[in-house]
Amino acid sequence: MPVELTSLSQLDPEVVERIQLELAERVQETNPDIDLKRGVLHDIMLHLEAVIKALNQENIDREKRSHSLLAINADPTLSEPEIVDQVLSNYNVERRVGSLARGPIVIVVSVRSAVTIGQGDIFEASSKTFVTETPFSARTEAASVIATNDRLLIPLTDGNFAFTIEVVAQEEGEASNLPKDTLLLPQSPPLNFVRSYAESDFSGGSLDETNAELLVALQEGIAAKTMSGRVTMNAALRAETTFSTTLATSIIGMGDPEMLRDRHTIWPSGLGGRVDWYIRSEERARQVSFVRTATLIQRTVDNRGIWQFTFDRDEAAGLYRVSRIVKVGDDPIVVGTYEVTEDIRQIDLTALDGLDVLPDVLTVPEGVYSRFQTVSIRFKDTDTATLNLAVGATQDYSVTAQVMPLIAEIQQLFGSRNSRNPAGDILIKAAVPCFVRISFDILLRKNQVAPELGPIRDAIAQAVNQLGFIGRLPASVICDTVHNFLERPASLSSIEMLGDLRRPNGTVFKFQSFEVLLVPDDPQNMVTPHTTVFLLNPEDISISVKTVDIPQI
Amino acid sequence: MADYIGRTIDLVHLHGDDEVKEVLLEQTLAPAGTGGSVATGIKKLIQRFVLELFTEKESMPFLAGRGSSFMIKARQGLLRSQLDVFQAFSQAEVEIRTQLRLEEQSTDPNDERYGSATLLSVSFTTSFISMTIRLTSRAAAGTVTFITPLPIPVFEISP
Repeated sequence: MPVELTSLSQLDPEVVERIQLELAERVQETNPDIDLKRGVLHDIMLHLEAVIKALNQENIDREKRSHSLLAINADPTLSEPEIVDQVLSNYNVERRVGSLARGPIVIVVSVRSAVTIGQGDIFEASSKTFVTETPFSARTEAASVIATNDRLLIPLTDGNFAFTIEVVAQEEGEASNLPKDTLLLPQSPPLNFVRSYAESDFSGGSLDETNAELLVALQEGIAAKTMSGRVTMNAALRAETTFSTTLATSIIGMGDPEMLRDRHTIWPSGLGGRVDWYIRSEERARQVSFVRTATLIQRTVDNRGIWQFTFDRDEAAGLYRVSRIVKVGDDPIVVGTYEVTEDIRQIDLTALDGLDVLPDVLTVPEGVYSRFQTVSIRFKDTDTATLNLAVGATQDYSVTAQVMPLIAEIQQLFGSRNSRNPAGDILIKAAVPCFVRISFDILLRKNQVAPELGPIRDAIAQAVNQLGFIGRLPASVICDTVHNFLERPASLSSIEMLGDLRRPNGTVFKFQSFEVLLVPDDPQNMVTPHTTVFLLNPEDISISVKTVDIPQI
Repeated sequence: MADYIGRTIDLVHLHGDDEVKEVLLEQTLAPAGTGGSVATGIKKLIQRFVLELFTEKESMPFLAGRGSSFMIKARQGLLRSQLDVFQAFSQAEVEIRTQLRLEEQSTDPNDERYGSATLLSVSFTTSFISMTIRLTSRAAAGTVTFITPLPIPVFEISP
């Protein structure tokens, strides 16, 4: 029985004493001649009986609590996971088990010669370890790439060579979902090793769903899986395996000030029949790599040029911004990025297979961050001379974009004829992003051991990214998280939070606070706590460790 | 049996002291082939004292205050001379006295209430320490009668 208490030392002494008194009273009632106040019967037999009875009673209570939704609701930590699973299975709620993060690593070597990475080789990053599940062989010639795990050594512009392998985390959890370009160190570096880094965001890492999270899912588990109300819509979303890990959603409908799409008439108020469903499918915006052919659109006076490439609506679903542009072949760790000069959004409402009715989108901001947006990026290449190039020339670039995944897939499912509410349309949008940067000081007493900063950054990022649609980021969230890693009398100071809120109209609202970052209430631009989420990457957290004079007493 | 009227009984856990002589007692609730015994009077006090003396303090779950330090010292090998034993006994007697008196009431018979305990002599052999202890109850001197324990009958049920 999983709830069983097996250690007597965990029993409450007051409970044991109470049970012993009760036993003594009951036995004494029918046996007045027995001395039950002291002696062998009291100290040995009655006492030990009371201990065992207290153990049984505790186990009975635990079993009862685990079967009671009321008790589980009151305190989910008291209930054994296995029993909770059994209770909630009656309501079609299943605990999501933890999984390992996976992702590709680029290994850079200095010499063009065959390299082998063995099965079980370990790579480390941010206090987490990753391992290869199969051996990989880097080949110098394309003709030698035969087996599934053979890789071709690609020459880089800096004279090094690179190849890509796949690794899996050794521990479950979101903390192993490394962001793109995170440096990893191999425990056994291969010959001529230069560096290795994450080629793209790692994904798939998660912990077992907790009882508290399951209780949130319970309401949706019981609810009908239909598009008739907010609870039922969320139930329908999470009933789909692909979308079951969706972190937070916010549904904007008739009467909500953020709903602009039901006012496309001269009538002064909304007419209903429209739903905007803002989705945060994952904790962080995923960094996705593309190779884009850019076109020279303008030659600049410094013999350089403005180039442009485009993401069509299939690639731009949920796309927030382009974070890096480098030439193909450049090592992104070494070089910087070309600066984006313009980010142009359009809406593509041409027919789409599987959707009989497309959402009513009149203006570009209404459709930004949905699967119907297209994105054209203009940037200045500061390296390519354009003197001998004509406008219209093309060149390939490696582009990294930050994307909230699954927007297109959710639109395809819930916008289809069979799923959507027949009374109106539905538009799935990635939540309006507020990219956060945080800095603070950790103050230590002299000679106090400094904590590891990697786990602190991960914990802060997780705490912020799990806030959902609440519209405020108090500094207390950071304090609360960091203090779990500190020993007294260490403290925090100079907490600064900066937000870059990218509005659907393309403008960026920059704001900061030392106490609480508040999402502005701007429903006319569809920016309110109901539509906006905070996004924080661990590498955007700056921590300074300082020693201060705290007197010893 | 008449001696048991008006008294409360306890289980005997130290068997074999029916005769007045030196004898190795058997610590069991029911010796083989018997159903055990119940006792009252001074025998109960003796048992309580022996239990406290030979129980290590803080060894009983949820009864951390029971027992004494005597056996702790014996187990740690600190009882190497008669003086060590006398000192350990003196310390243990204070602890036992507190415990026994805490659980007594003024309505209890005087021969079941703890008075004092004195270690009269100690001798060492190769395998054990022999101690002679005088245990005194609250009853007036010369008024205590050893009440013989009563056996608990064992009923055999024939198939």
